[in-house]
Amino acid sequence: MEKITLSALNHQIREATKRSFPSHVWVIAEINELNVNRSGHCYMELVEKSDSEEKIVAKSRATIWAFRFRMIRPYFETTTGSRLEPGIKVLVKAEISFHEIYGLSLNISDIDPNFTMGDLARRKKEVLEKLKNAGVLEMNRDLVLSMVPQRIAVISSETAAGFGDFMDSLVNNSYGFGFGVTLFPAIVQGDAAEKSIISALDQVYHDDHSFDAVVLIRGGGSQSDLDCFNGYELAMNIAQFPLPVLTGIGHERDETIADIVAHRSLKTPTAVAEFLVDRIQEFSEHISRLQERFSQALQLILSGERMTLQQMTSDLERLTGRYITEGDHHLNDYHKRVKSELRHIFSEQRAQLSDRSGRLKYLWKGLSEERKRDIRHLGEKKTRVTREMIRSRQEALSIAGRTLEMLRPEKVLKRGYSITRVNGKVLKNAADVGNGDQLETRVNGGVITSLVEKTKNNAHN
Amino acid sequence: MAKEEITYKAAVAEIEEILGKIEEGELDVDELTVNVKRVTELLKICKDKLRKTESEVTKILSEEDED
Repeated sequence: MEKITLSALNHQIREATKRSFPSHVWVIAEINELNVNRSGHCYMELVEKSDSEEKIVAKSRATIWAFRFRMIRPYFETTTGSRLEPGIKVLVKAEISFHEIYGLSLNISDIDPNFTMGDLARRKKEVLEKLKNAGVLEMNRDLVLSMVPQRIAVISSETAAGFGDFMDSLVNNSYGFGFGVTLFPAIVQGDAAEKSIISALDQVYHDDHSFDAVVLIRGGGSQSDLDCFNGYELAMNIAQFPLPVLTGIGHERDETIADIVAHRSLKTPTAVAEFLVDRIQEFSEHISRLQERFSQALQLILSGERMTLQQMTSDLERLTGRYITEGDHHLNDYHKRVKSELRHIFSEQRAQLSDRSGRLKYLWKGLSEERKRDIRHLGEKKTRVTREMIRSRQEALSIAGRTLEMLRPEKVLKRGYSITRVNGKVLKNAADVGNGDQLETRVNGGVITSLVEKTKNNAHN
Repeated sequence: MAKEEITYKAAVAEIEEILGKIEEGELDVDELTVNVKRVTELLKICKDKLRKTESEVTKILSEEDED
């Protein structure tokens, strides 16, 4: 039996390995453990799991020397947007080395980020597919965001720079819009993040009527630590949340699942704040436009009314004006006609008069002095005669008056005459009385009553 | 001022309704006065509300889970 020392064996294995793997090999594996020591060397444990991801079917140690790791890590992380950490799948360029003491190890000289990205994309795609099948993918997107989202529930880490940026942009907005912000603190990085965010969402849910929107922001931090926003559970919660969820996760590359299912995703927390302010500004402008339209409509109506009034006034003025001027015309006409008529009449009369007086004057002139004197005499005589006639008539009248005065019965009685009445009748004939008749005789100064004793009629009666 | 807590949506809807009526000339001058007053009031409510801060940053206190 041939015997061999361990070192010889290991040496043989080392040589055989070298022969079998003369250059590098690209190996697909999942990082199971990862440690970086003080000198910057990276020690990993790579594994391969069964399809069901339950059982490890292969395992190997791997090393990235510090001088390489310093370059590989940032390149990988910025390209993939994912941290180089346990749980991710990688495609590594490795030299297989076997050390007599340390055994088999993969000496990694490069990691292909495209593979990991592809793997992440595939995983994302799977998650999205699941969400779609569950019918929730567009649920949050379909919610209507308030026209004026002023009451905001923020899910973020309290100490995060992003939260500070968000608050700053929101509270100090240049329009002076007011916001009510309530912070629901959550861990937004690392393994615990997904659960923490879901729990914060639950708290908002209990008070959902108090808010117009939920804002999920991540404060600065690593550009690569976005896996927590790609989880199925968180996506389910966001998608089905009764309020619109706005994300400002602060990534530069692909959207996370959370972004996709959210009502709206924005690049940064500041962008979310600006979006909210802009939306309110939009509403404010809408209000201003309404106000503008309102005042225009009013002015239109008022100026319309004013014009109608003016029209009516001017119509009235024109009508009455016409009336007045027409009336004026008429009056003027009348005036003129009357004037001319009168003038006509007067001038005719004057003409007649002057005609007559002219004729008289002419006649007068034609008369001899003697005739003129006679005529003057005649005139004077006529006057005198008339006057005398009047005087004599007046005299006759006064005589008649006096006679009448004398004939008044009282005066007659005074002169000794009497009036005798029989049976109330004036006695004018002796034959009118008989013996025994009572006579009533009125004389000056009284009445005498007597009885007839005897009568004697005149013979010729 | 019974409707102090009118929502933006309701306010805007009401403003637009009245505005439509005004623009269509459905209101006579007397009705106009009442409606003008209402619109002015609604506009003021909206504008005031936009700049009113409801609450400062508050924190949900403890985690009283389980409902």
